[in-house]
Amino acid sequence: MSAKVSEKTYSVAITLICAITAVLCLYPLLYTLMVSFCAPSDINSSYILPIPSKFTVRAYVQVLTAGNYILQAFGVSVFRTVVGTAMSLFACALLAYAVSRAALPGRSAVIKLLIFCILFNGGLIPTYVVIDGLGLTNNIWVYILPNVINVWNVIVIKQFFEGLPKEIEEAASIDGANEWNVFLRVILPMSKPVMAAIGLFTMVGQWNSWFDAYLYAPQMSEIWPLQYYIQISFNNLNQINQGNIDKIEAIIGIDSVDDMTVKMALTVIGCLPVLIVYPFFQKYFAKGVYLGSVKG
Amino acid sequence: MTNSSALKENEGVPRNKISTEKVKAAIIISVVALCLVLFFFCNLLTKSQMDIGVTFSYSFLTVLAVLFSGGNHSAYDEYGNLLDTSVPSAVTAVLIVLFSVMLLTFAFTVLRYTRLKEMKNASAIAYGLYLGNAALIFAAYVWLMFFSGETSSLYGETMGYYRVFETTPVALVIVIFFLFAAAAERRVKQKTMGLIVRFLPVYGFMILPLAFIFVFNLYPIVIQTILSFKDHTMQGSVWNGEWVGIKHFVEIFSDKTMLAVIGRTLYISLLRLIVGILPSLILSICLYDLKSKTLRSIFQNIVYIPHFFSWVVVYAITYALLSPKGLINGLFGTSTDFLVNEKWFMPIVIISAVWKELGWGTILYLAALSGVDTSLFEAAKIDGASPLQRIWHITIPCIKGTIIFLTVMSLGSILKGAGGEQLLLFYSATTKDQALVIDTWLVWYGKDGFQYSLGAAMSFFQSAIGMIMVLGCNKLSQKLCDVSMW
Repeated sequence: MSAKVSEKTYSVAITLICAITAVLCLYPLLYTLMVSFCAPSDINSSYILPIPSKFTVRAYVQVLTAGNYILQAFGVSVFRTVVGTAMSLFACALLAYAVSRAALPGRSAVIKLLIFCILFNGGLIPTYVVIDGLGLTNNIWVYILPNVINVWNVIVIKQFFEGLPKEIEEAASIDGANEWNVFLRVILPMSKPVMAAIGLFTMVGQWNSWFDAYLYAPQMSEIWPLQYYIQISFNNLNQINQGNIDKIEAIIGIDSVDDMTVKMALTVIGCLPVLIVYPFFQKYFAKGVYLGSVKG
Repeated sequence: MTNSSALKENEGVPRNKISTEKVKAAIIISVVALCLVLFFFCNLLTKSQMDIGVTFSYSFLTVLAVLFSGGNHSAYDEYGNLLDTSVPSAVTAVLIVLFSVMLLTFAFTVLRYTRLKEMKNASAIAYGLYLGNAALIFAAYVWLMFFSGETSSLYGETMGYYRVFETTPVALVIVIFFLFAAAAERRVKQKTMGLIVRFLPVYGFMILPLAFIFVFNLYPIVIQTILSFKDHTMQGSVWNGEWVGIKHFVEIFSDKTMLAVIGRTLYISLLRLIVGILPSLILSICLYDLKSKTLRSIFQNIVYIPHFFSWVVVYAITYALLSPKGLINGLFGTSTDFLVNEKWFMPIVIISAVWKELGWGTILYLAALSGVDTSLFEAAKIDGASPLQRIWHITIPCIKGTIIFLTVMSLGSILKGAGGEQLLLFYSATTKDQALVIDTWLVWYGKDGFQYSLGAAMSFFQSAIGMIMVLGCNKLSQKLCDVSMW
């Protein structure tokens, strides 16, 4: 009898834990969203969820009309996400296809090289020196070129290619298709799950990245991506080089950088694209991570 | 009709029509030719005239030009003044000898595949020549690295003995090419050659991606190694500057602030590891035991969301909750600025990181659990095992391997696990000391403080320890639970 009760308590308890976690994950987002629709006077009240007494998009209007900067930043982010993901996926798949061919002479040397690149890397300063030497600092391509090859992704994609049935590939090459056609017409269409998963991670990584702008283009506000723009607007005065405050306020283009609703509106704009693509990809990524972390 | 069918035939078969020997010849000849071109046109040496901030670069071509113009090399400085400088005759002589040997090697390589096909021992001679070239160039490279010669200043006065030339990596590239040619000459069997011919287009696929790896992954490693054993000055390039041996490494391990930085890195990494492990584990067991499949996938998809937010957004959300005008202060009617408070800094950093990665951390445990036979649980239920007993005796043992693997691997990357990116966003003037870990040190004092050499040594140490630890931990995890990276 007692076992049955505990069975019930258990299932209630685990449902509760899951539900509480889910609420904890969602609540801060909801709060942020609500604040962004409030009038500045509303948020100081102690509501757990500040439901705007008067729903207003004032903050968004202010953000979107404050000079060209935010639109420019949005454009930079879209550019790096689209171009960066496309180039990276293509190049990684190409290399993965090459090293997935078991009979290729020199294959093991290339795989060893890839593994070495995972284990050992040139740190922040040597990488900075190389990128500076290539003239990529203050250049929009700095967001894309260094990220074209992600060695982990190459290995994950390679693993997937090796799992594909060999017969199809052989049949294709007997039919007279050359390697390029086999890759483009046979292998890639069969690899949608892994490409979607890797594509999503690359996209999210590109969209979310602010650190490369901070390192390689800190003075070049024309090529700041959205995330770095948001970071600058949140920067409390301690973190800003004192001499630059005037300039930064001019760049942000908002007189009252202190305005909470404006900051939250910026944040919502910063994470909205990720939330929008998320549902389309979520069926793929579990598989992608599994492949990458356990087998990779 | 005939035309197209002929084309088709050509596409299908030609691989077998090219003789493998010819391809091998073409590869080796082009590699040696490439070496010649590199040697001739690329800058092998640089010479910095630090006093006026001008760097002269020399390829073999320039050196020849200098030779024919009476030993003087002219260049314009940034103000447009014409400057003259000389090349020591020893350097010129060595470069000419090297070039002659390379030219001979190239001639022999071409001849043995055309005129001298019948020659005995040709392969052995070619092999010896390629190795010899590699050795000579490497020796010259080392010699030039330590070369001291009498130089004259721009105004003709003798300046005494200075190390005047700096070598560039071009020479090393040439050495690698010659070694490659030697290996191709000796090691490649007829059968392998056939495969190489068959896979030529696949090698073509690899060129561009590998070029990216060489430039953005391997070259920084070379720079890192050079920098960390040299004294970098802001005027010169990476290749200038004195060799100082392990001075920077000694500094890392004797300087108290540096040791404190390393200690704090270890502390924060460990804290993250310990605090982060349990919540994910509990959540994944709860999710797995949920009876309703729909409910489970709804919860799963919700808890994954924070993982996809950038640290900037996470900081913004933290700000919304904790700033003086934020939620917590609003609720309690206070106006504490938690974000700049020393006491609250670490808890905020750790908790926000747990919030971001909690749900995502379950994904591997759930993947491991999805392979478990559910009849085990049914049988246990019938035998009267309570839910907690089932967790302890079935669920945990089933994912034990994954738990150990993940823990051991994050132990392996402990020097990089302090979360520099997050700390850079969350710190403020009052909490900067607490945020000073290796990764943030590299940004604030290495890059912004222009301590390139010390910074390179630091990341060299970080990477080297990381590699050893990951390899060791991988072995350990293989022994403990039979799960490994590869």
